[in-house]
Amino acid sequence: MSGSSLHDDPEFAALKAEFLASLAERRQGLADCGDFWLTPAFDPRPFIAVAHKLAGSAGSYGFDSLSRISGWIDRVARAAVEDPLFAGRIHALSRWPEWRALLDEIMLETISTGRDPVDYESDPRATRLKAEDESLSTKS
Amino acid sequence: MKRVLVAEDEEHIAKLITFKLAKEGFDVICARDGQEALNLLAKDSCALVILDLMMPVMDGSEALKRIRSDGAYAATPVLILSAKGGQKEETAVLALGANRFLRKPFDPSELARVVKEMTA
Repeated sequence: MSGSSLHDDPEFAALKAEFLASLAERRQGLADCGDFWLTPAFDPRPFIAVAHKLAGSAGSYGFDSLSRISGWIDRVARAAVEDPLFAGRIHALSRWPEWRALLDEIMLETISTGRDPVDYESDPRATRLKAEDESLSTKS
Repeated sequence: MKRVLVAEDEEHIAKLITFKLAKEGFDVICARDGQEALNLLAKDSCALVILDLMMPVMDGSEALKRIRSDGAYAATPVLILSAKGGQKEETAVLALGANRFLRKPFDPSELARVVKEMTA
């Protein structure tokens, strides 16, 4: 989903640079969520919002892997917090720090290199998320 | 110049849509949520409305319902552009009166093609 016909356009390059710069702010948003998912004050919504927005925007700027992985996190995390079974929610949310770390790492990689973090699609955390996302799709 | 109203809370998506559609000769106005989109629509007639689904204040589904229930602009074509892109969501918004559904991430050139088709 690349917008590849735009890649030679200087205006598009400027927009892409702005998008890349926004990743630092998004990382800060994740940091503000914290890892303390067992505390009453824990609010997963900002984290899910970061993943959801990245899923939609990153691929539109040509960062397809960043978009895909963010989409898996968005859907799996959303399903976890909406799980009607308390035990299901607790089991899923125990993996919250892992999801947050993965999303943070792939944003940092993208900021550092300016390129799509393709290698992260084979990261075991990402492949697990992908399988869970596929499982959710089958159920719905 | 045909005017397109874009309701989108992700700034970088709104900028990309504006950039691409402006290059194709459209006048693009942007809202950050569904309520702001309705306010703009009440002031200016538009050839097309592009709605995100998940937005603060008023989401895209609610904005779509209100557009379709207001005689002043009920006939305005609506394109839903969403990362919440399951078949269930698509069926639901088409039932509410959306004309087309595109999933994010999107190819800007494909979006421009669809917008031209819908405003022809």
